[in-house]
Order: sequence, then C-alpha cells, then structure tokens
Amino acid sequence: MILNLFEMVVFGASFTAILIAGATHLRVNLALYSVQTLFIGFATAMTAHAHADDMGIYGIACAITILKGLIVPVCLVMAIDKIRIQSDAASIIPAPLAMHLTIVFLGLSYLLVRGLPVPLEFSRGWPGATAAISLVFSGLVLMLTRRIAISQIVGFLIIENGIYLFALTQTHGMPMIVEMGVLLDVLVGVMISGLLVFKIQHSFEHIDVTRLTQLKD
Amino acid sequence: MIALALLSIDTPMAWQGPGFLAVGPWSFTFVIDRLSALFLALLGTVGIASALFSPRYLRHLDSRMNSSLYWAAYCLFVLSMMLVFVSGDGVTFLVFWELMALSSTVLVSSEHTLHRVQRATIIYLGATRTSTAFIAFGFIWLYSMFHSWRFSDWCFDRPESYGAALLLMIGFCIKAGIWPFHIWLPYAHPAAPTPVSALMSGVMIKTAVYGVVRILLLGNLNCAAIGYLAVTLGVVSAFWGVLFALVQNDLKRLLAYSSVENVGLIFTCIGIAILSRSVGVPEVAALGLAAGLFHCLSHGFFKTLLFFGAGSIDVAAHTIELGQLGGLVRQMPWTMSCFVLGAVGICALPPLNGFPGKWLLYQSLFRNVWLSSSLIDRGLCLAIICILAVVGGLALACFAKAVAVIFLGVPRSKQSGAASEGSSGMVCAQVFLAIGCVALGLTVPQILLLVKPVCDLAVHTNSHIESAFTVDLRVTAIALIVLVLALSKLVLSGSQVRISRTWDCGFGPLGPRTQVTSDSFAQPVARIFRPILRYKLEFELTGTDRRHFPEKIRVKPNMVSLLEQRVYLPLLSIVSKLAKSLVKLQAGSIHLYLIYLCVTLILLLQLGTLL
Amino acid sequence: MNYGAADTVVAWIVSLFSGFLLPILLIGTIRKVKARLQNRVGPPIFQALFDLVKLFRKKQTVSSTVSWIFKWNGAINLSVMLLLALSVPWLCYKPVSLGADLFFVLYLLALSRFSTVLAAMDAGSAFGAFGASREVTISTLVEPALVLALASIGILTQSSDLDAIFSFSNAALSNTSGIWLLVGTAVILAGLVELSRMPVDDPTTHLELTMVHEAMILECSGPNLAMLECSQLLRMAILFGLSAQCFLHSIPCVWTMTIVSQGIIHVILMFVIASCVATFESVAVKLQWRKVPEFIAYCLTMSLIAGLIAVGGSLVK
Repeated sequence: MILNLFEMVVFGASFTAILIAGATHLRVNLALYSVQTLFIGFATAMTAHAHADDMGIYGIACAITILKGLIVPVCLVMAIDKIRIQSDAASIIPAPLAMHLTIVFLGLSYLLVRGLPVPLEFSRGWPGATAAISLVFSGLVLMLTRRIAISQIVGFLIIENGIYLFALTQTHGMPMIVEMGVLLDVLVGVMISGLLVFKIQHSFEHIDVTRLTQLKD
Repeated sequence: MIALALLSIDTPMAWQGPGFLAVGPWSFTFVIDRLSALFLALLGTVGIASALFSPRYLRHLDSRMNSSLYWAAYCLFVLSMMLVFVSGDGVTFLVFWELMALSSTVLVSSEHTLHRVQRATIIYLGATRTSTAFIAFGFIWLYSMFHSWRFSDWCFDRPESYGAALLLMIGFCIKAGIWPFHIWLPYAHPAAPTPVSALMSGVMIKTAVYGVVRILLLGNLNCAAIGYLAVTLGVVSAFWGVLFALVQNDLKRLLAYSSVENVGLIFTCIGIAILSRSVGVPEVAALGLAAGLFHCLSHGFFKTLLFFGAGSIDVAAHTIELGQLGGLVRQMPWTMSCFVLGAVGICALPPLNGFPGKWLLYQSLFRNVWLSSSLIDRGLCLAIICILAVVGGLALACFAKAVAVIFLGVPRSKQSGAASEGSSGMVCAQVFLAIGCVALGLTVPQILLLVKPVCDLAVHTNSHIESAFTVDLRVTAIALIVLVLALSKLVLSGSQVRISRTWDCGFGPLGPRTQVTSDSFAQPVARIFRPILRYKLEFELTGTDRRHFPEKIRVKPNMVSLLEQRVYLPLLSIVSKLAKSLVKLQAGSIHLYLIYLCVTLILLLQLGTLL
Repeated sequence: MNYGAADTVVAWIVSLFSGFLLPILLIGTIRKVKARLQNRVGPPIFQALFDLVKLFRKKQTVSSTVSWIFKWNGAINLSVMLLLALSVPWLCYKPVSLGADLFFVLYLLALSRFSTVLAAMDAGSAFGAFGASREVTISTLVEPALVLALASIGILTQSSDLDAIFSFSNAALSNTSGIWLLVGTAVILAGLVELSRMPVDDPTTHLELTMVHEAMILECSGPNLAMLECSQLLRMAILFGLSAQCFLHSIPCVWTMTIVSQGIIHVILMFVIASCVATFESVAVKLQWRKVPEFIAYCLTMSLIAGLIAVGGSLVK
C-alpha cells in the first residue's frame, strides 16, 4: 500500500489520537494533541493547494494551527499547573487496553467508510473519512476511560478535530465564516471549561469525573 | 494384562487401510479408513503405554479400590473407544459412545469412598449425559432428514441440516471440554486413577474431535457460522485453559486445564478448516485439518506422558501438590527427563512434536489473512495469531513452573525427599511415549503423507499437504545436538569445577522454604490477567511493629472461577429446585402411579398418531 | 541473485567476521556512548571481548543442588543463538540459506528461554526464580507484538519466510515506508524488552529485587556464564539487525542500490540504533515493575497498526 502525503498526514493525526488514548501524562497528551492539530492544519493547507490555492482555506489552516494547536493547549497547561495534577488515572479499562481499543476502532472505521457513500470525484474521500471517524471514536474512548476532567476536554477536542476533518475531506471546504465561528466556539469552550475545572477542583478538592455524581443535587 | 494382548492387536489392524466389514444382524456397520486408522494408532499406543503403567500404580491405590473391577472397566473402555473410531453409522456410534461414557465413569469413580471422587463422578456423569443427549437429538434429526443412519449418507451442504450440525457441534464440544463446557475436566481428571486420566485426556476427548471431523467435516458442512463458532470457542478455551493451568497447584488439575487449552487449539484448527472451506479457500482448509489431526496425535502422546509423570510422582512421593514437591531430579532422573521432554513438546518448542501442529495452525491462519476475501476474516485471523502467541507464552510459563517446582531445587517436604523412581513398568511406559514424542517430531512429512487422504477427501482436491511443512526439524535437531555437544566439549571439558552453596546474599544457607513456590511463580502473570482470573492476594501481617518487623506474615492467593460461581451453580440450583418439585409427584401411592401410567400411555398413543 | 564461487567465499568471510565482531562492537558502542554522556571515559570498545576471554579461562563455581539442566544451559543457549545467527537475515548478506521461518525462529527463541528459565530455578535460589517468573511474564506480553510485527510484512510479501520478507526483490514493498517504520519501531521496542535492557531491566545493576535477566544467570560462573553472555550478545545483534533491516527497507532509494552499499548502510544503521539505545538509557529511568506492561503495550500498538495496514492495505491494491 502506497500512502501519499495527504494520507500520511491524516493517518498521522489518527495515530496521535491513538497515542493520546494510551498516555496518562496530561502534558504529554496536550503536546500530542497539539501535534495532531498541526497535522490537521497541514491537511487543510494541502486541501487549499488542491483547490487552486484558495486563500480562504489557507487562512483557516493558519487559524487552526495557531488557535487550536497553540493557544488551546497553552490554556489547558495553565489549568493543569493551577490544579497541580500531572497524570490521569484510567477508569473503566487500563490505558494500554484503551489504546488497543482505539486501534480496533480505526479498523472498524475503515470498514464503516467502505460502506459509506463517499464522493468519488474526490480521491481523498476514504482516507480522510477513515481518519476522521477514527478520531471521533478515539475521542469518545478517551472521554470514557479517564477520570480527570482535563482528559474529557482533550477527548472533546479530538472529536471536534475528527468532525472538522470529515467536513474538510467530504465537502469542498466549509465556508470560512462557519469554520471561524466553530473555532471561536471551541476556544471559548476550552477557556470556560478550564475555569470550570479550576472551580470544581476548588470546591470539591478533586476533579474526578467518576465522583461528580454528587453534583446532581 | 489381558488389555495388553487386546491392544497390541489393534495397532497392526489399524494400518490395514480402507475396508468395510459389517458385523451383526442389522445395522452395526464398521468402517475403517485413514481417519479411523490415525485415531486407532493413537489409541493403541496410549492404551499399551497405560496398560504398562497400570499394575504398579494400582498397587499404590490397592486399599482404596477394587482392581478386578478396574481391569474389567478398563478393557471395556478401550474396546468401546476402538469401536467408536470404527463405527460407520449413527446407531453404532451412539451405542459405543454410551458404553465409553459409562465405563469411563466407572473408572473415574474407582476410589469412590472419597468425597472428592464422588463429586467428580457426578459432574462428569452430568456432562457426558448432556453431551450424549445433544448428539442423540442431532442424530435423530439427521435420520428424519436423510432416512439413513450411515455417516456416508449424511450431507450438510443444505441450510436445513445446519440445525442438526449445531446440535452435534455442541454435543461434541461438551465431550471435548471446550469452554464454557470445560468444567468437568478439572474435576474428573484429578479424581480418576492416573492411567485412566491419561487415556481420557489423551484419547477420549479426541473421540469428540473424531466425531466432528468424521460427521461434520467429511459430511461437507459448509456453514461459515459453525466454523466461526468452533474457532471462537476454540480460541477462548485455549486461552482460558492455559491461564487457569498456570495458577493451579495440583499437578493433575494443571494438566487437565492444559487439556482444555490443547483441545481448544484442535477445535480452532477444525473450525478454520470448516470456515475456510465454506468460503472457498480449500488450501487453508486442508492445512487447518492437517494441523488439527497432527495436534490430536501429538497431544495424545505428550499429555499421556505428562500424566504418567504425575502418576509416578504420586506413587513415589504420595502427593501431587506442587507445594510439597521439589528436587525430585536426583531421585527420579528418568521420570524427570521424560517429563521435561513432554513439557518441551507441549510448549510447542522445536524440534519435538508439539511444534509442527502449532506451526501448521499458524500457517493456516497466516495464509487465510491474504487468501480470504473478507476483511473481517482477515482481521480475525490476525487477531487469533496474536492470541495464540500469548497462549504459547503462557504455556511456556505454565510448564516451566511445573518442571521447576517439581523437579528442581530442594525438596519441600519429607515425602518428596524420600521419593524414589517407580517400577520398571512405569519407567518403560514413559520412555516409550517420550521416544514416541521425539519420533513424531522428526517424521512430520511421513505423518502428513498419512493425513493427506483425509484432507483430500475433505477439500475434494489434491491438497499437497505433504509438502506444506517447510521447516526441517531433523536438520534442526541434529544441528542443535551437534552444536551443544561440541560447545560443551570445547568449553566445559577443560574447566575446573568448584562445588559450592547456592548464593544466599551472605545470610546463611537457603532452605526449602526460601524457594519460590508455584503460587509466587505464577503471581506476576496472574496479576496481569486478574480481571479474568478473579485473582486476589490476601495479606495478613501481625506483630508489634507490623510494618517493618512483622512476626507473622500470612499470604493467601484467592481465586474463584467466575464461570462456576455465576453460571453453573445458579443453573444447578434451578435444576435441583425443579427436581424437588418433581419429588412431589412421587407420593408412593400405587393408584397414583397407575394414573401416571395411564396418562403416559394416552400421551404416547397421541404422539404416535401425530408422527 | 546468483553469485560466483569467489563471491560466496567473500560472503562467508564477511558474515562470519561480522557475526563475530558486530555483537561485541555493538555492546561496546552502547557502553562507550553511555559513559561519554555521563562524562566518563568509559571502557575500551572491545571490553566485552576481554571480559569473555577472561570468563572462558576462569574456574566454574557450581551450586551443589543443581542438575544437568543448569550444566547444559549455556551450551543450549549458545547453540540456539548460533543457529539463529546463521539462519535469520539480520545482516543484508547471507552466505547460506537455511530457511528462517518466522514462527520457527520465534519458537527457537522460546526454546532458549525455556532452558534459561529452568536453569535459573535449578539452584533453588529465590533470586533466580523471581527473575524466571518475571522473564516468562514479560515474554508472554512481548511475543504477540513480535509475531504480529513480522507477520504484517509477511502478509504483504505473502510468505512467512524471513528471507523472503527481508529480500529486496519484491519491489511492491519499496514505497511502503510507513509500515516498515512501524515494524522497525515495534521490533526495537520488543528487543529492548527481550534483551532485558532499560527501561524494563537495568543490565548494569545487581539489585536482586529488580533485575530480570541478571537474576536468572546469578548462579552461573566461568565458561558457563561466558556462553550465556555470548548468546545474549548474539541475540542483541540479531534483534538490532532485524530492526535495522526494517529501517533500511523504509528508505525508498536504498532498494535500487547494490548489495555492498546496502550492507554498509545497514551496519551504520545498527550502530545508530545502538547509540540511540544508549542515549535513551542515559535519560530514561527504569520502570517500576508494574509499569512494564504499559511499556510493552506501546510495542503492541505499533505492531497492531502495522497489522491493520497490512490487512487493509493488501485489499486496497
């Protein structure tokens, strides 16, 4: 199987998602997330190149790389520093098994995509869709198998990346304004959740999501 | 010794090749072809060996059992197994299958005064009855479909027959001890006298494999679902069996669980054969079938050998608890060497006979990965290769533990310190089988040539199976032996040797209690797989300064079998509740019984008009 | 590829020479690099050879409780390794083709492990037995990763023969850098575990509570120990060589080179790997025993992804 550059980039993104599911160190996870976003940004830039150097899509690529690849991780690192928690604990299954599970999901998403009506005029359809769906699955697995709320945020961000990648490879690029709006939403969301994590830590002295059932009252 | 005479004739007879002989008035049809010949050869060898082994072992149990009953049941058992292998129709098969089950039950209950044995007998009887029920239902179903009892008339290539095939598959799975029906094996094997457990493990559970191959595979079953079922159950029982074998402390229980593992491997092979034939990859099907048959033979050899080792140890040291043994290499060198050979065989290490079967299985899975057209099949095969690698590693751990704890180090109890080599008959039986293991490993191409007609018959083409095994074990064995001898001659002969104590960190001499026990050896692995094993370690430290200078430390590993606790016990309690409500029917009044008779008669007549 | 008689002779000489010299040079490199990173001068690069010669000439001290298994263990291990060194294509050139089946090779490795484990428990010492117990635990976990990694290339070449897997004749594989990189990483990670190197086991300490391989050979001395050390060095060369082969195959332009230049690049890659291992060992800490399965999980991840690519990829073609 010969991978071209684009396929390598998108599968690189899903590879980092797999590694995130296995690593329990929060800083490592954020670094890997930032690498993943770089991959996504690069894929966007390549799409822009394929669309006759569409400047709008180039702009989105830059915005993604800077906002999601840099500012969001830095925000979260600051949150981690504040709550003084370095590593996460696995909740349902051990982290290594979660990693292997995401690999199985990568295979599953490949199977799913083969059944999907992919727009054929676009040769990037199947690798992009496979990587995108596997990103969504990986994010879900991460959110399910971790205790610390920061990991839930990272999982959510990975899912967001997956959805974005799916849109990018299945359509001819979203309108710039929509994408910008989404980016802004994500940024604000992360900031709020970072604050929330700090607040929860402050009032409950832990941020273990498995014990957050106390909040229901 | 009647058994010996009886058995020595069946080995030559086994090689007569294809032929028909019809005995008896109506439907006792017997067929001997290559497939039955293979199994008969296995039965002959194992039977002779265990007849050689029995006399001395029986003397060991003399006070607790009736030896004439033992011999009668033994002969019946071997004879019925032989007739199962040669029967050509359903009724004959069932008759001897039942005879085999009953005679083996008598043998299992030899020491029937012990509570443990009574329990085992009940469990075994329950399992084997259930199995017969499934098979009988399947046979009747097939008869109503084909109006013939002959195996050669039964054909499973239409979807109507899949139900019957499924019933047969389940029945054979129970008899073979496949997960989740393996529950009887770890009870029946330790309870039975050793020669009997050797026969049961070496040959009797193979009758189920024989049944699957004879009826389903040679009956052209082309239902992929049953193939998937066999593969899944086989892989699960291989993994489950070896994992539980690893944490056992009773040698015979360990061997029983290892039988679960090996029969799981055999079912995986057969399942792959069924699966890949039904999806149209005959090359892989032939490989899988050959792997299964070869592994049947070799497992029969080394498992019997290992059981004999356990029996010799039982006779010599009066215990097979791993915690009580140790250092037997000095007192029992022959048993030790044979046991090590058996262990090398069962861990599938080259150049002995366990390796070819495992290799053929790996190859059939491996080729399926690129020959199969379905993506799921490919992934499944690759995953199974992965699991089998884990199983191989666990088997190595399990038997390294068994050999090391039993034979190496220093004795852990007085009994094992006082043990000595058993009678010449026992040693002969073991050496005979050990030579068999080596010979089987070195003559793989010849064995495959013998298996070839069966494979050809199963896949309907020339399978070229005889050239499939590309690893030359003979060259490997010779190279290894020459290298080892040369190296030890070159390097070790010149050097001086100083005998000293084992390194003790300067704390003074080590004793039997400072050695690692079987539990502590298995603990790291058990810890990793603790969700499956339900493995728990209980600590208890007592003393004034408990943390640093405990006076007494008690550690108890705790393990519950989830399947037994959660599935079988509730099931049994439901059954016994139902049985209790049935007791009410039996009031003791003659009038009531007459009414029952009447009702039954009417019902039967009604049934007759319906049919 | 057909060689003349002269070529065969040259190949024999080169391979024997490298089979003898490379293991010693590799361990020498690792030790030297480690020492330099710690601002020490370090031992001479041939120190391993001097040590071996010394050990071969020493007297043996043997425990009074050991049996024949212990006495034969060194010879069995070394012969298995010699057999593997002759048959496994861990170098680019191989004088004689004995046929190295993938599964066969792994089970031969298991044979040597079986013998070592038994020998470790032979003296009745708890250290040896703990080492043995850890060794079988680790190997149970590593085995599937190694099988899967090599098998996934085997699927693409449709053969389980390692010679066919690592030959340069199947040009279809020349542009599949991704899978080769993954497999190379998996093999090197598995190698670190199999060779009892950091972060699983520290080969330089003798703290009995933590060590794996060193604990198993604690009772060995003199020539017996020397043979075990030899086989360990050979095993290292074989595993490093295999992973270097994978990395070599991942460079597309290498495929069209002559065999001599391939061989030279391959040997350089082996030394690069050795230096990387040394650097890694200088910066990493030894993992707590309970964390070891997590480390091995990464190895399995690489192989799983490689397997996935192999299964899916052969369909895309």
